[in-house]
Amino acid sequence: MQKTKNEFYLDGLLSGDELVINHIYKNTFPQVITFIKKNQGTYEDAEEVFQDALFQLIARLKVRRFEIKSTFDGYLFTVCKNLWRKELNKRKRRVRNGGVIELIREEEEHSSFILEQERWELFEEKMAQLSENCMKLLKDYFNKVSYNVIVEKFNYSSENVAFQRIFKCKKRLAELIKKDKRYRELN
Amino acid sequence: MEESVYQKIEAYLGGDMAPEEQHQFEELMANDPELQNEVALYNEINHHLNEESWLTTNAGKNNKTKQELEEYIKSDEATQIKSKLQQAGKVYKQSRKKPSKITFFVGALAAVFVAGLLVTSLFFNKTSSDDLYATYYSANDLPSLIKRGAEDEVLSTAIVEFKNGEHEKAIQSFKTYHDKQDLNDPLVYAYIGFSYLELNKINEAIQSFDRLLNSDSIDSSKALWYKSLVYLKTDDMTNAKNTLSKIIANPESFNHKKAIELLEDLDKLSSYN
Repeated sequence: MQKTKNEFYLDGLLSGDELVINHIYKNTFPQVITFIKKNQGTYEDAEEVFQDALFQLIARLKVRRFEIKSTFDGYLFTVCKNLWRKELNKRKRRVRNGGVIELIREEEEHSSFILEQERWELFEEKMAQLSENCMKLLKDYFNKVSYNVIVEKFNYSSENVAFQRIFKCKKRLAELIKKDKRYRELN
Repeated sequence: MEESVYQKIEAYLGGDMAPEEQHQFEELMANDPELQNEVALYNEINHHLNEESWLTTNAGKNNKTKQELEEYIKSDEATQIKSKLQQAGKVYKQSRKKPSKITFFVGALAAVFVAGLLVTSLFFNKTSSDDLYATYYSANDLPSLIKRGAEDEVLSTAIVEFKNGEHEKAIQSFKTYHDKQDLNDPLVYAYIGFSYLELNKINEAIQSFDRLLNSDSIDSSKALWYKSLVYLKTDDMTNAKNTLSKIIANPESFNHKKAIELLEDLDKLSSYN
């Protein structure tokens, strides 16, 4: 049987195959560098994020066994984006706390993120089960598109209608999440 | 739950409640686990949808999986894989840049500027020990890297960044240069050290000079001199004197005579204060 491309990457990672790892670097890392440099980071940050993402992916494969539903590259890039999102939030918090650095054990840091990422994937999966209209609406709303723009874009008769609609979509999403038994498990 | 409850949840999470209303709502939550869960879920959804935020969950609750993960992370196998990943990072970095010939001139030009930069940057924040630092610092003391790698693009970039005061970038470039192939050039640590010093990262500066000190380079004794300059700049008289004594103890050391002079000056300084 022929291996799928994802299997090729995952098996290579699990066995620590240097050729596969180098290949992954060449394929995905440039994209991560570009993203992080555009978002207040440095090459060093990108390197750290990329290595953490790969390392956590391996740990997750070993302990949890899971399937990547998209392409491997796409998946890895998403994880890197989330890791960077978390890091930026941490840095903001540090500024607010007057520069106090939170001391977290390394393994704790990895394991927390792995579980947060799993939860994030669950939420994404449920988002995809919403109607396309709902999904777009929620994304726009949370990424600070103003009500009047939303009203126009989605052809609503008033801002109040838009508000009601957002509200319903969110409620639907919450119901979908609650129904999934993984939501409780991951708590 | 009723629609009005959800409106309250949103108002609460959005910080749109008056203090008293908020207080009431919190009391309500305290006695109503279902409401509590609902608020937690809505909070998580809000964070999920906002592309800029990330909710660090208190995942300690999920003990078994977390423990399994942490056990694996601490295992030898995981440690080995991690070093392989780091190695791949180095390989990647090396493959990124190929040297070009034009940069030779940039490098040579930069060398001229480096001297000026170091001297001028030392005249800020003058205190008496800083004055001494400025007096005893000489750009000539910085090893010349130009002879060694004039045609190396990464090195030229590093020196230009150093010259421009982009110390963070310079550190990165010097490290990249240093990690290349089998290039063993401990003198790069001197530049990295001074970059850190400029960034006020004193510990890193000392660490970098220590690397030079512990290398087998014939210039390793320069590190002691650099370290005493760091201590001088940070007003750490005890360490400055200790380090100078080490230089003095060995007549072969770099700047042996200067070290004697400087130690005398420091002794004078402390008798004034």
